[in-house]
Amino acid sequence: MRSATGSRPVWTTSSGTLTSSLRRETAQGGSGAERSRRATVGAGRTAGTPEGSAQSANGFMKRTIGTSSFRPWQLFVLAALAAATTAILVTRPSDPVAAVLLTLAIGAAGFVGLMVYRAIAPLTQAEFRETTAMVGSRSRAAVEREKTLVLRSIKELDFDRAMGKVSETDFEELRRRLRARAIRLMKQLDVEAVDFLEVIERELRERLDRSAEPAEADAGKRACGACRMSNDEDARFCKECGAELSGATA
Amino acid sequence: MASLGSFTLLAAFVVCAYAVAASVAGARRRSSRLIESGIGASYLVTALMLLASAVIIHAFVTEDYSIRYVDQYSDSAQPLFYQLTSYWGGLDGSIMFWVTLLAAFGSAAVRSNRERQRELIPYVVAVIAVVQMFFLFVMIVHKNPFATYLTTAPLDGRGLNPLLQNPYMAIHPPSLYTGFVGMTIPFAFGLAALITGHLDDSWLRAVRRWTMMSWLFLSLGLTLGMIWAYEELGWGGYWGWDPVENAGLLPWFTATAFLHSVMVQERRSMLRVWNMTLVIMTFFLTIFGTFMTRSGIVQSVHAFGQDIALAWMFTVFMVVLLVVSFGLVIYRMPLLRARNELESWMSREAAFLANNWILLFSAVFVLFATMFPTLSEAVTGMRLTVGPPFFTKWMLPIGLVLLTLTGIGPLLAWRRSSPSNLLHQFAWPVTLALATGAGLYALGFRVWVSGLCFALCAFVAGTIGQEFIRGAAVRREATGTDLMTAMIGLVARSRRRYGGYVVHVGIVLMFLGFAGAGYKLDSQVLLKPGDAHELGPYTVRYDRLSQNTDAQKQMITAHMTVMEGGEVVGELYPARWFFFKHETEPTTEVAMRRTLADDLYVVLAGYELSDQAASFQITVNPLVNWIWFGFAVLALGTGVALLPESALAYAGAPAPQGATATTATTALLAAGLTALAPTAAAAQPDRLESALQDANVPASAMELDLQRSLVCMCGSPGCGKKILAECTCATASATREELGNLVAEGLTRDEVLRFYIDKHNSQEALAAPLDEGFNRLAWLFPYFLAATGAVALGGAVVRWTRSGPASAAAADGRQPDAQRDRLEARLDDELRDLD
Repeated sequence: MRSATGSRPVWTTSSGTLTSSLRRETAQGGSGAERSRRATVGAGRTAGTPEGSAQSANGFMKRTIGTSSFRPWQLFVLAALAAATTAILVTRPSDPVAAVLLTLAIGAAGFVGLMVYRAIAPLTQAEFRETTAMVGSRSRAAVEREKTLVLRSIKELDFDRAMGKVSETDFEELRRRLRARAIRLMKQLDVEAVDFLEVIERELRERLDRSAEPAEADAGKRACGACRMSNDEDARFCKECGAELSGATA
Repeated sequence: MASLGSFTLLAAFVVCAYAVAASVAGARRRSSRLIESGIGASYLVTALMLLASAVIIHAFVTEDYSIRYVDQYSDSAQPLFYQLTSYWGGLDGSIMFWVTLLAAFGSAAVRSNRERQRELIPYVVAVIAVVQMFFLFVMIVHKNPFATYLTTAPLDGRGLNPLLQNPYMAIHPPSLYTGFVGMTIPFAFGLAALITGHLDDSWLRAVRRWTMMSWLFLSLGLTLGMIWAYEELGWGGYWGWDPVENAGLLPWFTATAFLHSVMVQERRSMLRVWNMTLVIMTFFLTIFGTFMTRSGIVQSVHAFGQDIALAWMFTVFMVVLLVVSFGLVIYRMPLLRARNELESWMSREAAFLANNWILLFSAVFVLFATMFPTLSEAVTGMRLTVGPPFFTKWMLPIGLVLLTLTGIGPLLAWRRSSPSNLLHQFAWPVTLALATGAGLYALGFRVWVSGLCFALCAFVAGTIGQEFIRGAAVRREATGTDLMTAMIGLVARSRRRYGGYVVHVGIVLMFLGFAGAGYKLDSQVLLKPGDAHELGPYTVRYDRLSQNTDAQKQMITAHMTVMEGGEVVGELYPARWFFFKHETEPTTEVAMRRTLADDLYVVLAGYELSDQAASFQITVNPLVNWIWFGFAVLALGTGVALLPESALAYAGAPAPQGATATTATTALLAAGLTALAPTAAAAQPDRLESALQDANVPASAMELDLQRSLVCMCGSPGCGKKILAECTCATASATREELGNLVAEGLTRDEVLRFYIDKHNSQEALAAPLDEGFNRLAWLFPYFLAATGAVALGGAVVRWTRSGPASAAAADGRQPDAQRDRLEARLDDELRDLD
């Protein structure tokens, strides 16, 4: 779980990680427990981290402008800078502190403009995508966090026992209860993760198929030595350049 | 500019209304667009409030006195720093500052939780916006900081109250406001959880950090207030149970209770209703505190003055707040039922319960005592004073019990502690406490309250030390590292627990400082140049008096030499400053010699320019600086507890996130500790009238007792009904003299008290009301409160324990299967990875 809290991957990166880990597993095999653990870690990365939120907010700013690299906030910053320059030139304040404050006030006005845009944009935007992954009625991240908390509680309980603060019977009972809860949460997460996995696996399979196809097709064909055009197995001359195909004669 | 400001406030109000509408509609119709737009609107309010703030600060700096607020709280001679801080120096600006902070905090909280708490966010936005709307409404219709003069604008402002022209006072209110405002965030999440019915523990996790941070700021605000009172008001103490100070203390009690009881909910799924109640009460008390200080309903050193319209607005808001919040709690009661039960009194949850009970008792008691004069006036028509003697009677034992619990709590196990556990855990700390107590007794320390406090401090320090050492030992065994690495790893892994322990160390240090007050020495003396006075280990020699002037004020400064054991160890310059625009309220500039063992604290009480005679109040305050150190440690501990999950995941050593705040605090405190009141000395002829007051040293124990049972009635904002023995103003001095004469005439204690009751035609001059008639209520109420609390607590415990452990073992009895085995293996795997 360390990666879920520590690293800062974005959506594409994490699915990339997941895909590569799957590919590795397909190639190398690996135990069931190991495999599903990696899958959960990967899935944990995808959703609900604060980065996710930051990304979705940025993403939503990006989407509105389309592919251009110009962002709305840049417009407002430029406008505020221009307004501040004009204001300073027009009023020519004698006190530098007043000039700074005037600039700050205009900066704040620019911020107001940006935020007006931020409040209106979701209503007017053509495509608006829900970004939060949900597990039942709760966001996936909430369940993930609860699981982490239960895991930590188990650790803490172990620690308490080592410190001599819990009796053996209490320890056993509490530990059993906490483990049961952790497993329930893991199951809950897995249900979602399976769907997610299926999608990725399907995509992976499709891609693998697609890359495998030409190879299989090529296996029964012959390439022209001069122009690299692939020709039928029994062809004697290239259909593109007319050169004689060497293997045919052999 | 003024109309731009007013327009911005109006716009903010409208946007808030939109945020409420969009969020609620979005949540009801499950429309992400509307919810997003509502979130955007809440950011927009922040932007608008920042703009409004920029406008008012600009007005202060450019000295735009056509704005009434600027005129009242600033003038051209004021240094830039105080021109900037005048923003929150008055009522109107402080409300605006409040909304700005709330908007900024709200936006930050919404932004950091909008993905994690998807289902709660729309209602969080709505609740925050409703609170903002209330304050914006107050500003727009009643207290607009941008209101202008209808006639011609004055040429110069009236200037900020000189008492507030102190660096501590400039940062004390913002820090206190930050604490107050921060408490809105937990409230908003709690209410959102109640509205949506998502009452699992996730909302608690979202708000824990915010509560902790607000609690830190509240503590900082209270400490700065104490330092300010200590340095600026010049009565030798730091906490006078003034209503405004109490207003800050009330939510601090409930927030502290919440920070503890939240652990019980996390670990044992108990106290769910209680936690919700604490969150609501904390928020309510912040609003009530604001109401108390701003409506003029109580008299105080720094209340903002009488305002009936404002009092009504706040009253309506508070009633609505209580009805809606507790209505929701009752509505959601079935979802809030506890899942577990209290199994033993010897458990940590029981210790937390006791801690909560005491903290809540403190909050209600302080609230009651603060409001009692108002209550009494409403019922009997007689205004009276509830002063320090009344508070200390109760808060002293309460403080000691809390300190004891601080030590006991960490040693108990969750659920139940067996006798062998108890022996194992308590042996060392108790031994340490007993040894300390015996040692102090042997050394001849005989103030039993302080002695008990020292022994308890040793006990708590012992428990914390034991926790760290044993924890590190356990970890060392598990990881095989050295003790220091193990200790760091220990703190890094359970930051909340060990951060909490560090906070407890801070509390212990503060209690050391409080206990030191038991050995406080003070005396009032009249000295001529060359005279010396001995107090405790120090001898103070008065050398001469000087006066000089700057653009804002005239300063009268006494030059004194401090000697210890016959050697000169330093010089002190106590002074009085007369600000030109506030000449009737001279400020007392205290001179201090600060050491870790004690403070020598000298106040220039009066002087005669012609013969240079001057009267001084000299105090030796043992251990007082440990309070400020204690706070620095407390801030450090909170910083550790606040570290985000990932901060230490990869780093080998802790790199505190709260480091900036903490170092700033430490630097601030260090600066405070080294600063003596420096005053330039240059003799100048002056027009100031002489203001010599006779120093009246109490001749008998009864006279001293009477001086401590009466308060100063001069009514000036600087005095604020200080205890007669400690007040340095002219009226107090005259009263002390009068009192001395009365005692000399042979009047008994009761006769003297009667004399003052008759003189003022009320009991207002008494530090605590007489125990008779309606006032008996004041004395009986705490007993009643404690009894009710104990009965309620007992009842709850009996109910919990009666529900039986039958439900406990349910739900886990499923048969193991292959999938389960696989999950178990995975769980072990993940646990191994988790450090």
